[in-house]
Amino acid sequence: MDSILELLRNSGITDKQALMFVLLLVILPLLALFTLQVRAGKRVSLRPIRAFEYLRALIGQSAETGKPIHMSLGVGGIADPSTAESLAGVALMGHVAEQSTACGAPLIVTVSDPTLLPLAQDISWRTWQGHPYQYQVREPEARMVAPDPTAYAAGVMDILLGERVAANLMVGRFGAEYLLMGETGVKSRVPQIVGAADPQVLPFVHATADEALIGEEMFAVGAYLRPKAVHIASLRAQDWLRVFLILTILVGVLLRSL
Amino acid sequence: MRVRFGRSLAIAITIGTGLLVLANFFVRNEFLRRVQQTLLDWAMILAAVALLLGAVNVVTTHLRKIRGRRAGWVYSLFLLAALGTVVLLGFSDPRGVASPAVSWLFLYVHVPLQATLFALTAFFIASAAYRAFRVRSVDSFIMLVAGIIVLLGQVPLGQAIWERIAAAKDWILTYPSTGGARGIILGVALGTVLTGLRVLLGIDRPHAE
Repeated sequence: MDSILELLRNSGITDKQALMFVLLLVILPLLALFTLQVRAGKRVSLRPIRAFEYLRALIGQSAETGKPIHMSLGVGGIADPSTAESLAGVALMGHVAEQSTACGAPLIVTVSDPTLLPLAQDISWRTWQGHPYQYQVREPEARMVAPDPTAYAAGVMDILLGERVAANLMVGRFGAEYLLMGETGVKSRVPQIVGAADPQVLPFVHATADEALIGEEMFAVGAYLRPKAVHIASLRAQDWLRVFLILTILVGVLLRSL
Repeated sequence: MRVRFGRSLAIAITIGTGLLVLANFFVRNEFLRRVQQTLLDWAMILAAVALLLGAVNVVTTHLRKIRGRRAGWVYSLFLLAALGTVVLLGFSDPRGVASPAVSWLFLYVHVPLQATLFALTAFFIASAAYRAFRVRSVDSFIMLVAGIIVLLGQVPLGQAIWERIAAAKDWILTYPSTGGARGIILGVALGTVLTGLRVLLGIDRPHAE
C-alpha cells in the first residue's frame, strides 16, 4: 500500500485524484451493467420505504381537502457542496408537482438559496403546462423566502401556521434551523415527511417527522417514484459499493489487529 | 421541435461543462484551469442574477398577499417597507452595504432578531426530546437509556450516582454514535457521487425533463 502511495506521489497524482479515479472506474461499469440487466427485464426488489407510501396518502388528502401541500427544498443551493441534497429535493418536488397538479391539490414550494428558484419555477410551470386542463388547476407556486437560514425558517413557520397546509414535505440540506420548522409543523398538527443527510440534524428529524428519509434514502427518490432502469441501476450500484466498503473496512480492521 | 432543441442544448451544455470541470480535476492543464475559472466566474454572475430574481419573487409574493388582504398581510407590508428601506440606504451611499446606515441596521436590527428567533430552539429541543424519549418501542427505549447516560455523564450528579458513568458516556459517543454517523455519511457520500454522475452523464435532467 505504501509503495503504491509513494508511486502516486512521485508521479504527481494526489490521493484524492487517485481515489476518485478508482471510484469512477468501479462505478461506471457497474452502472452500465446494472442498467443493461434491468432493461433486459431483470427483476429488482426494492425494500419498502414508508415515506414514499405515506406521500401518496398525503397528496390524496390534500386533493380532498383543497388545502395546499408545502414542499421545502432546504437551505442549500445548486452551486455549492449541498447540490446533491438539493437535487434530491428537486426530484421529489418534480414527482409531487406532477401528482398534485394531476389531482388538483395546490402546491407551495419554498427555497432559500436563489439558485434553486429558477429550477423550482421551471418545474412548476412545465408541470402545469403539461396538464390537459391547465386552467382548471392551480399552477404550483415556487417562492423564495430568504437566503438566510434563520429568516427562511421564520418564513416557513409562517406558512405552516398561517396557510393551513395539509402536509409539509422537506427534502434537502438543513442545519440547526430545521428544528424551528419541524417543531412548528408538529405543533400545528401538520403531517410531515422529512429527508435530511446531516447526522446532527437527523435526531431532530426523528423527533418531529411522521416519516423520514434518512441519509442515502433521499437519493432513492428516482428509483422509487419514477422507476427508470438507470435509477434502479444506480441504486443497485450504490448498494454494491456499500457492501464493498463494509468489506474493505472489515478487512482493514482485521489486518490492523492481527 | 424548438422546445426539444432547447432541451437538447441545455443537456449538451450541462454534460460539456461537467466533463470539462471533471477533466480539470484529473489533468493539470493551464487551458483547462482557465476554462474552469471562467465557468466559475459565470456561475457567480448567474447566482447574482438568481438573487435578483429571488428579490422580485419575494416582492410579488408579498404584494399578492397585501392585495388579497390575506391573513398576516400587515407583516408583508412591514417586510416590503424594510426591503425598500435597506435597498434605498444601500443605493444612497457609495459604500453600498458597507455604509454606516446599512451596517447599523444589520448589527442592531437583523442580528438581534436572528438571535431571538434562534433562542426558541432551546425550548423546541426540550419538547422534541420529550417526544423522542417517550418509550413506545425497543428503539425508543435504547435511545432513552443512551440519552440518560450521556446527560448524566456530563454533570457532577451523574458521577455521584455511578463513578463510571463518564466512561460509559464516552463509550457511547465514541463507538455506537460515531459508527452510526459515519455509516450515514458513507451512504450519503455514495449517493452524492452517483447523483453527480447521473447529472453529468445527462441521465438525470432536472432542468430539462
